[in-house]
Amino acid sequence: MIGAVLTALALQAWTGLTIPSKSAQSALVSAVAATVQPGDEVAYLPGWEQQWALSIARHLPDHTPRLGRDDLLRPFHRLWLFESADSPGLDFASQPGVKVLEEVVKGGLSVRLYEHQRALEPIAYPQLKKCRLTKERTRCSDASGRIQTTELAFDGRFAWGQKITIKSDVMTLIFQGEPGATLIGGMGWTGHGVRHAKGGASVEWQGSQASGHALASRAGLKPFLVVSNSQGQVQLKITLNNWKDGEFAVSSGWVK
Amino acid sequence: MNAFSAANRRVAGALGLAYMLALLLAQTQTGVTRDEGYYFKAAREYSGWFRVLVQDPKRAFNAKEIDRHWSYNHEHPVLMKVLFAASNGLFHEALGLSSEVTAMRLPGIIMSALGVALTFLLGVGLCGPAVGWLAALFLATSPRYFYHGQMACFDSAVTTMWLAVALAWLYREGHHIRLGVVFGLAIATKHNVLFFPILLLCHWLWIHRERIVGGFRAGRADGADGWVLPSIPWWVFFMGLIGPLVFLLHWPYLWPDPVGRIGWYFGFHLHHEHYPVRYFGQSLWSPPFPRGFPVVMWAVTLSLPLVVAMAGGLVEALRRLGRDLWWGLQPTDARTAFMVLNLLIPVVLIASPSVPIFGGTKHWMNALPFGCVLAAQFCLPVILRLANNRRAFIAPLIALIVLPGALSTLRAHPHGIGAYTELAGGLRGAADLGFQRQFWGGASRPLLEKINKEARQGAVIFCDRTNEDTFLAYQRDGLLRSDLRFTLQMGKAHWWFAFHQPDSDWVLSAIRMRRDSSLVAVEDLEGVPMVSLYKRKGS
Repeated sequence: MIGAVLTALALQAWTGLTIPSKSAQSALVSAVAATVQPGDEVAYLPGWEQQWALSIARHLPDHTPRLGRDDLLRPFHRLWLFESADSPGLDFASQPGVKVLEEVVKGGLSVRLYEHQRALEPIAYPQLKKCRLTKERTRCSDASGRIQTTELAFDGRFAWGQKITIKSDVMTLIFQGEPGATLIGGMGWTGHGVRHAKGGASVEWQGSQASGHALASRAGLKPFLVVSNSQGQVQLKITLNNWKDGEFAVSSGWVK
Repeated sequence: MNAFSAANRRVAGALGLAYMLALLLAQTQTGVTRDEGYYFKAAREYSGWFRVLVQDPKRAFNAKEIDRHWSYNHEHPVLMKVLFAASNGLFHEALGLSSEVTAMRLPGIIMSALGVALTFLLGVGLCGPAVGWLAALFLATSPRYFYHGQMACFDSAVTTMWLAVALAWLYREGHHIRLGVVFGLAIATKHNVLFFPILLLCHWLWIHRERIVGGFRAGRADGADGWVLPSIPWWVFFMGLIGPLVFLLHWPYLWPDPVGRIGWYFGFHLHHEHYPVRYFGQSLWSPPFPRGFPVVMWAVTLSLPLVVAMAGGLVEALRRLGRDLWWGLQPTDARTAFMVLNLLIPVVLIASPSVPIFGGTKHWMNALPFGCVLAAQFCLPVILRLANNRRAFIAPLIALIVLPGALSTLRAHPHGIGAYTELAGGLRGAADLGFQRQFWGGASRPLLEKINKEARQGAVIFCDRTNEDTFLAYQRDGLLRSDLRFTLQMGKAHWWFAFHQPDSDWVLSAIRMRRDSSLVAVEDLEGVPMVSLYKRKGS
C-alpha cells in the first residue's frame, strides 16, 4: 500500500512536470517561423497534440502540417518536426540520405529541420486502370471501385493519402515512377473500413520483387518500401476474402 | 452491522454537504452534455403536466394529457427528471437564485453528495469510522465520480440509490417497508437497480448453500428426507411488491398501458444501441467487446492506491469466502459475500461482450462505493500500524492515501469524463495509449466565450457533439449569445467544433480539408485536446 501511494505521487509529479507549456510551444514555432521556407513541410509529435497545430496555424498559416506519425511514413524534402518532451520520437536522421540541418531545444520542447538529400516526391499518386490521380485530379473509379486523394482516419490517427474503396473482390493500383525508384509509405485499413469489414483481406506488392501478406484486422498504416520495376512501376493488388465493399488507405511517396 | 451514532450521522451529513458545495462550484465550469440537454427538455415538458394537475386535476389523468407531457424521453424513468424540473421551478424560475443549468443539476449533485455520505455510513457500519472516512474519500476523489456527480443525469444518482438499497437491506430488521420503498425509488432512478434482486438471490444461495446442498444428500443425520427449501424471508415480499408499485406510481407515462409500456421500456434497454469507444487505439463500435474492459478502465481511471487497495480487499474477502467454502463452514458473517457481490456483479455484467460499454466507467459506477469500502478495509491495518495507535496520525495518513485521486480529479477538471490516472501515465499517457476522452459534447463550454466575443451577428455554429438542446440551454443561461444559430450542416457554418472522439474523426477531417477553415482555439487538458474550434476565414 505504501509503495502504491509513493508510486502514485511520483507518477503524479512526473506527469505534471512533462506537460508542455502552451506559450513555449507558440514561442518555439514563432522563433523558427522566419526561417521556414516556402515549400517546407511541418509536423508535430505527439500527433494528437492540437496546441502544436494551433501554433502552426497562427505562425505558419501557409504550411499545412502533416497529421502525425502515420503521415510521416511518406518521404519529405525538408521537414520541421516539432516535438514535446514526451513525444514518441522519430529518428529520421538515422535514415539514409536524411540530415539534420537545424535543431532548437527549449524547455523540453524541440524542433528539428530534416532534409532528405535525394530527389523525391512526398506524395505518390496511383492509377486505377487508365485513370491516374494527380495533384488536381482527386478521384478515379471503375467497376472494381474507386480511389480518392483525401485525409485518412485510423481510429484517432490521421494521414494524407488515398482512400481505396473496393466494390468487387479485387483491385489493382499502379504507381508509376522512375525505374529503380523506391515507393515508401504505409498501407492498411481505414477506421471506417475495419469497422465495416465483412472478412479478411490480403495485399500483394509487385515491383522489382514481389511480396504479400494478410492485413491485420486493425485500422492503421503498415509501413512498406517497394523498389519499382524496370518500367518504373509498382503494383498494389488488394484481394478481399470472398466479400465486397472494403475500404483501405495508402499513403506514400517516391524516393528516386 | 454497527449502529450509527449521532456523531456518525453528523459526519456523514458534513461530508455530504462539503461534497455538494464542491460539486456546485465545479459544475460552473463543466459543459452541458447531450443527455443533459435532453433531460432539461424532458424536465420542462413534465413540469407542464404538474401545472395541469394543479389547474385541472381530472384532465391531468386523461391518457391524452399524460401522453402529451410524458412521451418525451420515455426510455428512462422520471424520478430524477421530475426532481430536475422541481429544482428548476423553485431555484431558477421562482426564486431566481441560480441559473437554469445549475438548478437542473442540483438534484444530481445532492444525490452524488448523498452517495459519499452513505459510503461513509457503510464503512462505519461494517468496520468503524476510519474505514468510513477512507471509503468516502476514496469515492469523493475518484475523478469520474466527481465528473458524473455534477451532471443532471442518472449515473451518480443510481450509484447512490444502489448503495441506499444495499444499506436498507443490511439494516432491514424492522424496516421492511423502508427497504421496499427505497428499492422502488432506486428502480425509478435507472434500470441498473433491476439487477439488485439477482445479487440478493446469489447471496441467498451462498448463505444457504450448506442447507441447499445438504438437502440433496441421502440419509441425513437428523433423519429428515428430501430437499427442503430454506424459508423465504419477508423482505422478499416487501421488495417485490412495494418496489414495483412505487415504480409504477412514480411514472405517469406508464399508467395508460402499464404492461405494454413497461415491456417497451425493458425491450429498449435489452436492445440498446452501441456508441463507439476508443480503447487502446482501436474504436469499438459493436459487440463483442473485450471482457476485460471494465477492469482495465477502472485500473486506468481510479487512483493507483485505490486500485491496489481494492484488488487487495477483494482478494482478502475472496480468501475468507474460500476458507468458509473449503471447510464447509456455515458462514457466520454474510456481509463479506454481500460486499463482494456488490462489487463484482455490476462489473461482470459490463464484462459480458454484448452489453453496451459506452460512456467510460459510468455503467458500472454503482460498484464503486463497495470497492471503496473493501479498499478501505484493506488499508486499515496498514494505517493503524503506521500510526502506531496514535489517533492524530490517522487523518494525515488517510489524506495521503487519497491525495493521488484528488490530484487526478483536479487535473482533469472540467473534463473529468476524460480523466486518466497513474497507470495510464495520466492524461497524456492515455492519449498515447489511444483511450477515449470525450463522449457527450460537454467540452465546448470553455470555448463559448471566444465565440461570444468574436462571432459576427447571427453567425451559424456547427457544434458536432454538442446538441441543439444544449446549445439552447447555453443561450437561455446567457452563456452563449442569443443571436447565434445552431446548424447540423457543415457547409452553412461560420464556426465549427470538432470533438476528439471516434465518431467525430470524420468531422475533424472534413473541417480540416475545407480551404476556408482555420484552427482558432483548442480546449485541452495538459495538451490533450478535447475539442477544437475552427473558424471560416473572413467571416
